[in-house]
Amino acid sequence: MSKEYQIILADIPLNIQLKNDEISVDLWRWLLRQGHPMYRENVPLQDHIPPITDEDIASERAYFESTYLDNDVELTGPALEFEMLLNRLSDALLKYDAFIFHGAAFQWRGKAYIFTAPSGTGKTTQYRRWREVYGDEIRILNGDKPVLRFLQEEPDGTVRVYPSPWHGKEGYARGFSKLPLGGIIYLEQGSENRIWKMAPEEAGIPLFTQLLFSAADAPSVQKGASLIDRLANSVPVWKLVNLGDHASAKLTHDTILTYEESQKSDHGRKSE
Amino acid sequence: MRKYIVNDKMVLVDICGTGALVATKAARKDCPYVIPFNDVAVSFWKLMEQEADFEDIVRAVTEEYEVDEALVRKDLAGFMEDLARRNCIRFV
Repeated sequence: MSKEYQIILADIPLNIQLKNDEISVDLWRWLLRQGHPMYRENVPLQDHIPPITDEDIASERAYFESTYLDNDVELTGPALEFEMLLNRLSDALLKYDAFIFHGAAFQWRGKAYIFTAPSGTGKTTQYRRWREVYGDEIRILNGDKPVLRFLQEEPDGTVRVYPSPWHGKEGYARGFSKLPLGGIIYLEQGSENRIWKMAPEEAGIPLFTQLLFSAADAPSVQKGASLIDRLANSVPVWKLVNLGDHASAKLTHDTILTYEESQKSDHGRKSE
Repeated sequence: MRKYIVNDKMVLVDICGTGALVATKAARKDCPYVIPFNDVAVSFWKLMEQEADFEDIVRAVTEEYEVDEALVRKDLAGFMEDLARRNCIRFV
């Protein structure tokens, strides 16, 4: 028996039916930590997200079993439904110019920054290196899947970062209110440390592959592509080829800092 | 050249001025998620979506890019073979 819930992501209330009570307990705890209530019944209806069916869960299980055959992946019904919920909600967020993005978000100098890359490329390692070198100068926001949103009332080029209940196997997450996105660092493992600011045309496709959604049909793919286009043209995207060592953290930190300072100087000169 | 059918579960998008062929959910099991396209590939694909035949595509792209027709014919044949291997088109 499914029950209807309201989940608030990026300040957007979304209604969905869930089959497994275990999920609702996890989500309820998370939403409470964010300061959001989660209403079980008689919620004001805004968006009805298609419910996750038994067939959907069976199909997801078959996909997981074929893809992660040798991995220690939990295949319980609630775990699968929780993973499927991610795509359902991210799909629903698109029309609000919001989406769930694959990356480790951290706070630094009043803004959010995101390490992104395909799984296993070293997002958590790079965050740990920053912590080891810079300590409390940074703090984790969401270790795996933050929500990004463009707000209509804000000027072009402003992207806000929000929490989500999906924060990775290490469980790195903390509550935070919408933070402006300062930049994205796209990681690649290499035999040396190098960093450069990617042009939007270089960044677009790599960023698109880290957009988490179901790509259900042509309109949603087009919408996802347009949001990523906007993202790549709104914030600096850095490519970091790296060894995963302390030197790579220092290189990234100093490069972004120099860039931020130069932007401030440019802005100051234009204001004079 | 053989006739072909385009996989209508693949979507051509433009991301920051770069073309990419993206697999919708229904195509994900059989096709790569994202295939980056250069400008010529975008032109090829748009004409293929309109079910243009091989020689018409060669003619149109030769005119558009002012390049050698033999080169376009060779590129298109290779492009189609590659897409067929990736299940983005099917020869009939």
